[in-house]
Amino acid sequence: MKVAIAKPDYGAVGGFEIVVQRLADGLRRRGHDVDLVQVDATTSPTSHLPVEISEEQLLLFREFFLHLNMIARFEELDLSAYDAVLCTQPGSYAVRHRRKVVLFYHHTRSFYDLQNVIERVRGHDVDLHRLAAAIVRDIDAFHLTPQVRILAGSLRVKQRLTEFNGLDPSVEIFTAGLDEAFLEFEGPLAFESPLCVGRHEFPKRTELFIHAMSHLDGIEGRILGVGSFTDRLKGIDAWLRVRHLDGHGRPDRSICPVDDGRLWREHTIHMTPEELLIAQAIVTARGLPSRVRYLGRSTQQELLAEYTSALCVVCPAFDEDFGLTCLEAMACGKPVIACTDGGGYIELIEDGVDGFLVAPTGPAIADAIRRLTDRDLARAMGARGRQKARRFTWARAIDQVERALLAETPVGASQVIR
Amino acid sequence: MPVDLPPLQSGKLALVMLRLHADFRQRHGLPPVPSIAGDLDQARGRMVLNEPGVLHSPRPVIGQAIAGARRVFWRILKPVFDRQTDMNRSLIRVLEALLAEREHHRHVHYDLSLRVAELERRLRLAEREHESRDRQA
Repeated sequence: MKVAIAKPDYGAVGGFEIVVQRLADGLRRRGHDVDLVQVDATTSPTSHLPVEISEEQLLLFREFFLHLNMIARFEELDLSAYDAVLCTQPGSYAVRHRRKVVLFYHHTRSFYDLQNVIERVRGHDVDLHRLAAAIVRDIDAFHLTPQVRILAGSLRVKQRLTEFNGLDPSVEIFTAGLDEAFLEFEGPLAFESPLCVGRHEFPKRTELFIHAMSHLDGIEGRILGVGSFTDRLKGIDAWLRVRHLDGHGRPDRSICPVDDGRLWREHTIHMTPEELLIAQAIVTARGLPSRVRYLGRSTQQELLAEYTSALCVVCPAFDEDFGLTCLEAMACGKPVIACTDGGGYIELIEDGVDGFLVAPTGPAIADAIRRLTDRDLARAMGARGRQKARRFTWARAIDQVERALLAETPVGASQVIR
Repeated sequence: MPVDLPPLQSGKLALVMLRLHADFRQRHGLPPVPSIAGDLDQARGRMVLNEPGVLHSPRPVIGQAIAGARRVFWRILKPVFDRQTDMNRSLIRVLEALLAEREHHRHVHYDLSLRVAELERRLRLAEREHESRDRQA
């Protein structure tokens, strides 16, 4: 079978790009002829729009224009030479093909499940943002119909498709596989420092981990990853230390309690670079060391080394689509701490068995970490998580995608007019 | 904190978004999305009853007789239609007033959002000064 994998090209390699690559390789090994068909999403975000958009307008609502442009570009792709198309990220499901399968991990989230959060914090004109969201949803609804075969990246993603698109029976849940490097790891385990892994962007909430660490004495947290928020996180880190100074300039966590809701929704985004620099200058002048170490980007080997030596892995993200980090950590025998509003993480963690689900606050995360400083408890929970993670193999994931691609889809399903 | 765009800028951007949406729906054979402004435009065209062609009949022989009969009926029924038309006109005026009021509220809302943003900025400055004084003390 000749298969095209349609995907916007964001010029970066993240977790999803790895999933796509693994699927392509797996399908090739099973004798299919697979091409990755990418559409550049980094330049000319208005190239296929019939209305002229000024630079200023583009700057204000880039995500909206980019989404519509992607839809237009995928609509005009001619993939008739392929027997089947696997569509991936937003926009690619606009491909016209009689046999298409949508591997759906998320909507353009600022117009769906993150709409309210974004309206509150980003500084968008709320009325305009609502208009943009209504338009995006209407356009998406044309392409995401019950006739299209959809594999949702998690139960949480399926719930969003039900809530926003009225799709339910046609949606099957797909679970990606874990890299063999994690699944087959048999080396020694150490239980040293809490670890937080992920891109530094909204709403990954790494700041909650930083806040949690500021409540723990004698333990250093480790942060792996980079992103557009990395410098802000360092500023927030300094700001938290300044918040906890008493009138004599001595650290005292009992004063100035931090509102975690505002911390991640507002402070992280709206603190000015000057404010962050001032906070950093104060902590430097007073010699207040950070409780976290920033490790930056890592290779897979370094990531594995970090997992295997971590005390536990903290996943503070808000309403995550799936939670690959959680599964990787479990495969490496580590207990995982996530938040009760963590989306996909909630499906993977059994509270008190292989990790903890806690309130989305620094002190609550700190309490959970404190409990896991009992190494025997951490080791026992990690072992249970490891058993669970073993089920997530790539062979099973590729089976599922192959079955969906081979299944008959109603002819012209992608062009049904409502 | 969130700040609205000035109403003019916001209106232009909304227009661009609506055009893109209309273009998508048209290209895909979907009916246009109904809007109050669109409905009003259509209603304005039906505000008057000056349609002389309506009474005319194209039939070759009895056309004139039919047109004459229609004129008679028209003279009888006209007051009823006039009354209905008056009501429609009033309704349209009410809708136009509502639209104008909504536009006015958008301006007021924008001015208010600017004032709130300014107050918040001052509060943050005061809070920072307070903290700095505490530390110095």
